[in-house]
This record gives sequence, structure tokens and C-alpha cells, in this order.
Amino acid sequence: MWKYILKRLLMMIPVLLGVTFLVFFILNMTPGDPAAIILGDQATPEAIAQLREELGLNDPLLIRYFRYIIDMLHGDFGESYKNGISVAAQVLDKFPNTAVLAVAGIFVALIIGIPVGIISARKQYSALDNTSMVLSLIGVSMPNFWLGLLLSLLFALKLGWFPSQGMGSGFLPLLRSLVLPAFTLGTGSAATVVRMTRSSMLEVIRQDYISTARSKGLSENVITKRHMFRNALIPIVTAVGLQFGTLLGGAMLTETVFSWPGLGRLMVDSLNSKDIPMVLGSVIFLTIMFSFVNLAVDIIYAFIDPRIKSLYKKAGFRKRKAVAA
Amino acid sequence: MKRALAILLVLVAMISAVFAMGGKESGSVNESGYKDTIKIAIGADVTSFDPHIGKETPAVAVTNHIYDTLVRVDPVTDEVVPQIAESWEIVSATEYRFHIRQGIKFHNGEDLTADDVKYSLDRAIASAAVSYIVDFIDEVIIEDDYTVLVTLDAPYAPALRNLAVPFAAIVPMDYTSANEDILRTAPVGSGPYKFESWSQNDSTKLVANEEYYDGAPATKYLEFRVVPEAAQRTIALETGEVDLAYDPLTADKQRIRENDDLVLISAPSLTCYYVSMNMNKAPFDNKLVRQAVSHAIDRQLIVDTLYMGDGQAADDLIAPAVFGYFGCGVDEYDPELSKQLLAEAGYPNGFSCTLWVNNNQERVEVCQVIQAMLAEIGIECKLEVMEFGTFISRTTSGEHDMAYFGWVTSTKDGDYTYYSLEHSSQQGAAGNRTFVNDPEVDRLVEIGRTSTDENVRRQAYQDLSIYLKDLANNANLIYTDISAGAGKNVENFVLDPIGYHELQNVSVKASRR
Repeated sequence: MWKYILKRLLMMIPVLLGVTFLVFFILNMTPGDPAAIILGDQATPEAIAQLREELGLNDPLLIRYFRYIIDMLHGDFGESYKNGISVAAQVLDKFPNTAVLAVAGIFVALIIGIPVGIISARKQYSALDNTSMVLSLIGVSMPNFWLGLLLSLLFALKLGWFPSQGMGSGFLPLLRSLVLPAFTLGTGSAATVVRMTRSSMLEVIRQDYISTARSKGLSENVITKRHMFRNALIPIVTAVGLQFGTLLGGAMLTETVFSWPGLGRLMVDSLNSKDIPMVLGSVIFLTIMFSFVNLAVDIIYAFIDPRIKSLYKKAGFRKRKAVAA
Repeated sequence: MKRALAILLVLVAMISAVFAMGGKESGSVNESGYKDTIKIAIGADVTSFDPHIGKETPAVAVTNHIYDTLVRVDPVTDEVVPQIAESWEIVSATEYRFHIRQGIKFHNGEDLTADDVKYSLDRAIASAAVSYIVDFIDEVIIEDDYTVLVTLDAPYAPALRNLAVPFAAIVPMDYTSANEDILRTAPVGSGPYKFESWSQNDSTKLVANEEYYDGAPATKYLEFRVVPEAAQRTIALETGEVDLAYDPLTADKQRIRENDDLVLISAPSLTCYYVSMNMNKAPFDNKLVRQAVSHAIDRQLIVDTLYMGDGQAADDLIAPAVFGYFGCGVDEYDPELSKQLLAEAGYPNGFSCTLWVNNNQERVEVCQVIQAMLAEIGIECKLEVMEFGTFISRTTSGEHDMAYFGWVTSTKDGDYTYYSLEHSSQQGAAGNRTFVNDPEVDRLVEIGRTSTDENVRRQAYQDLSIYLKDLANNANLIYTDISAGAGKNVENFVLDPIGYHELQNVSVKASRR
């Protein structure tokens, strides 16, 4: 198991190098001079040339890339072109805000998605099932920014229950400010979780061991909980893991609509101003986070399904035997 | 099942607790019934608190409360009035002596002296971001602790107005020179408010400078909240989460007007949008063709439709709030006259040309309308949209036929626009992208630039405005509006035409009713 985790961590190195290479070159291929963007409409060509020199933008692309990688390996992710503040400091400052929102979003997705998915599967083709499928289709299709504005109009403006924007400080203000963005973010994921839970449960529901459990006289609740849901969990965990990874990096629209000071907004602002070190730093950080979420999902498999755990163990045992031989 | 029910009940209880905390946000209220914090929704965060770097309007709307300049322009009377300099003398056309107010302290307790003024102006001149505002200065000479002599390269009449631009802010020398980057995140100035905290992409908090030379501000705290989504700024204003919301969406303005608790404040901005015609290229080297283009554009229709009435048809390159403005009448929309002018110019069947614009959706839409209007008089105009850097570099080298630009007269003085856009020495990158090279234009621009007599300057700009209307090298199109939404309980708020709204005299009653 530990060897597997180590192997997966080592595999992140080429992934990260690939990501930095792609992002660095794509950003540099896109039109627009960062110096001209930073200095704005009324900047003189001399001022733009001076800033290009200060930012090192006149050096060849490959040299700049290798310089960046060497600095990165020394833990230096550079400074933002726009405000001169350390990229690492800004990313680490904003990531917890995004993480809070992503966790709340996935919480909403789970409390809506799993019960509705289970009920839909157990009552397949019923009115409830059809309604939940239509609603989940709407949930997947509805743009976040639009849903966010609608929720704001209703719950902030009309009812005055929650703040329309910003991140509260202190536990209860934070909770209040979290409700609307978490629902906005969570509904899209909830729809995916509903559909995945339903289809996964439907596969299990027709298995012989479910009939056996019923013939043993177990109650439907016990069968659902112990025999159906547990066996249907692997694809659900995969979907939830992917959704969580996406929410960590993809909350840009929700963060913008609700003025949530997270990493997504930092990235959008950086892209708009072609702040290359800031974009690279954010992307690298999110890649690492996404890889960790995927790794965590793989580890969770072992706890859900003992067969997978034994596979990890057997692989280790086989290798040890081969070395001994 | 019972466990599930219990969990559900706990969740409901938690959400109820959150609701119970509900109600609209309200700050503390002082004894006289006014709030102690003004909350303002702004569209973008401060990029840098260093006044010699952060020059975007949302940044300056915050930092102009932290820093002062030698002089300022009164937003109501438009007169140059003292600030850090309590008085000044114009020694000669190229020498200005400033007497610095004694007893001013920076927020860190340091005294503000002539050393700080020299250091700050030299620092602004060296800054790639803002040097264009102060590069008329040759040298800043310290005469004594509270007197400086600013010498100019050449006579420059708008010098005082340029020194009033927030980019010419005075910063503490000792504090800043110890670490040139410190002002970016830990600003110290001598303005009416002190910096308290900044949470990136979230909010900036300022606290009143009780020792401000002009008296303590009316409200103790300012809290600028970054709300990038314009519709959300209006919602936050409606819910009472903020007292002021800058730059509401055009579509939201009616909602603010219809709300009994709110008020919409609008004024013409200092921005003019115009089409530059390249006089080095045929057929735009012909005055009649340029006049035909100008008369073919229905400016009022663009204002009424694309801008939903928030703006006005432009009759000059500078907006009405700028020194030197002389409205000599909007070019009348008259397609028949345009066709006649084209025929006189030798193009009875029109011609083909290109119109360039940078990739800004609003600007592109205006150009699409212009394209359709020109088609009506037989000009087949191809619209080319390009990335900003490419647009600037290609128009600088004069490759365009026509190009669509916007220009803000950020010093509020006509020279800033006329010199850059019309003087023959400024062709290309500096701003003159019609490549006009006309001795009479140069003469009038130079009088406006060098004369120290305001009446002489006004007369020169009036003559220039009339002359340019006939020359028609730029088709001036639209002055946009600047707006802010406010609660009815907000008092003494004055809109600044650039967007650098000053809040030190603003107070907010506890209730909107």
C-alpha cells in the first residue's frame, strides 16, 4: 500500500512538468504583451519596453521556461507581475477559502445526490424517479452564474436570509455567507451524483445476492444499506472524487458571482492581466491538489472493498517473493 | 431510519440557527445617528497600494484616501486648490515654487517636509506606470525644509493640474526608501484615511486620520468590498449590505431609480470615444471624405440604443468637464449631405476601407453600427477586430484606414488630450493616430500648452475646437456617463468624473427612511 502511494506521488512529477510546459507555452503563444496590459491604454512605448526588460520578457522563451523550472524546484514560484507579491503566498492565502467552498459544495451534492439517487433506483420509472431525473438534467445544464444570481435575488434580496456576496468572518457569519455559494456550486455536482448513484444502484439491485438477502427475510432498509449501497459505492466515490477535484479548481464562476475571495477568482484575474507567474503557480497548485484527491479516492477504494485491499497486499507479497527468489 | 431522522433534525436545527443570525448587515451607529463605517462595493481589487504603480480607477478610488498631492482640483468648482502645498508662486513659465504646509504628519508619525516631496516626485518620474503625468518636470530643488522649486523642461500650463493627479502622490521618504516595495501592501501617506487592512479580492479597510490637516473625516471607517459581478453590486446595495455601489450595469440603473430607498447619481465622465481617420492614406487625406464619414454616423442613436441613454453625443475630443472644452455642436447626422460630400470628393459611388477596433465587446458593437451606417452612404467598410497589443502597435505604425479609440482626459485639462492626439510631434505611439500635421493645429495646441493666462488658453482651445470640427480628422462620437448607486441615507457624496470619488466628507444615516 505504501509503495503504491509512493509510486503515485512520484508519478506526479512528470505530470507537473507536463502541465507547467503546456501552460507556460500556451500562455506565451496567446496574443497580448503583459507589459502593455499592465501599463494600460495611455502607456508610452518607452515605459512598455522598460517594464518588459524588468520582467525579463525579452529573453528567449525556453530560457525563461528553464529559469522558471529551476526556481520552482527551489520552492520559488516567483512574484506576480501585477502586484509584485509572492505567488506562493497568494495561492496559500486564497486556497483555504476555495477549499471551504468546495467542501461545502460537495457536502450539498452528497446530501442531495445520494438519497435521491437511492430512492430513484429503488423506485425505478416511478413519478419520483422521473422527476429526479428531469431535475438532475436541469441541475447539470443550468449555468452556475445564473443559478447564483437567482438564488441571490430570492434568498438575499427578497427574503433577506443570507448575504448576497462576500465571505463572512467568524463561524456563524461564515456559515451564513457559505449557504448560497455552496448550493450554487453543489447543485451541479448533486445532479451528477444522483445519476451515478441511481445507475450504480440499479446494477447491484438485480444481483442474485440481493434476492438471497430478501429471501433471508432482511428488511429493505438493511438490504439497501448493507448490500446494495456498499457494493454500489465504488463508481459513486469515483464520481464524487472527480467532482471534488473539479470544484477545487473550477469554482471560478461561483466565486465571481458571490465575490468569494478564492483561488478561482485569483486565476481569472491573473488570466485577464496575463500574469503568467500567477497563473502557473495556481495551475501547479491545483494540479497537485487534483492528484491528491485522485490518490485519496484510490485509497478509499481499499477501505470500501476488501478485495481491492487484498490486491494491494498480494502485489506487495508477490514482489517480495520474486526478490527473495 | 431513526438515525437518519435524527441527522436530518440536526441539519434543520443548524440551518435554523444560521437563519436566526439573519437580517441585514448593519455597522455600529454613533451618538448622532450616523453609521461609523461606509461600505462601498467596487468592481475590481486594488492592484497595488503604491500610488506610483497602481493607477487603475478602482485602485485609485481607494488609495486617494490614503495619499495627498501637492494640490488638488476641487470636484465642484474645478479650480486648483491647495492640499499639501498651502500656497505656490509661478516664478516664471518654467519655475513653480511650492510652500509646504507645516505640521503635516504621515500616518506613521513622520513629518512631511520638502525631502519627501522631492523624493516622491522623482519616484513618480522614474515609474514606468505613471511617469507620463509628471515627465514635464526637469528638477525638484529643495530650497528649505518647507519650500521646493519645481523647474520644467519647457513652459507647461497644465503643470498644476498634472500635480493634482493622484499618481503624483507624496509618500514618506524614510519609510519608502528603506524598502521600495513596501507601499504595495503596507501604504503610508498623509491623506484623510489610514490603511488598516487588505484581504486580496475581498476588501480593504481604512480608518480615519484624526490628525488630518483639514479636519478628521466625517465617518470613522471605510470598507471597500470587491464585488466583480456588477449585478451583485446592485443587489448588495438593495439589501443594504453596502451603502454605495460604483459603476452599476446599464440594465440595473432603472432598478436603482425605481427603488425608494436608493438614488442613482450620474454625470458625464471624462472619456470620449472617437474614430481616427488616417490622413496619410487615401481617401482619408481628403477633408470632404472625412466630413462625409462624420455626418454619416448617427451618434444619438448609438447613445440611445447601445448605451441605453447613458452618455451623450460628443462634439469635441474633450468632455464637458475638462478645462478647455468648447462645445461647437455635434456633427449632424445627414446621410444625404455625406453622399454629396463624397461626390464632391470624387467618390460618388463610395469606396472600400477598413475599420479597426480592439477586442472589447462594447467597442466592437459600436463599430458594427458604424459599419452599417457607412454602408448607407456607399462606404463598404470591413470591420477588423484585433487583440489590444496588436491593435496599438499596428495603429502606431499607421497601417489603419480608420480605427476606433477611447481616451480619458485624466488630468482634467484639455492639453492632455489635444497635445497627445493632435500635435504633429505626437504622431503614432504618443496618440496622434490620424497623423495630422497642420501648422495651425500645432500653433493653437502650443498656445494652450504654454500660456499661463487661463483666458488665453480657453480662447486657443475654442479656436482649436472650431478648426478641428472642419478638419474632421477624428469623428468624435460619444461621451460616456459615470454612475454610482447610493442609499438615500448617504449624505455629501460627490461623484468624480474620473471615478476617484472622495469620501472624507460623506456620512451615512443609520436608517434609509
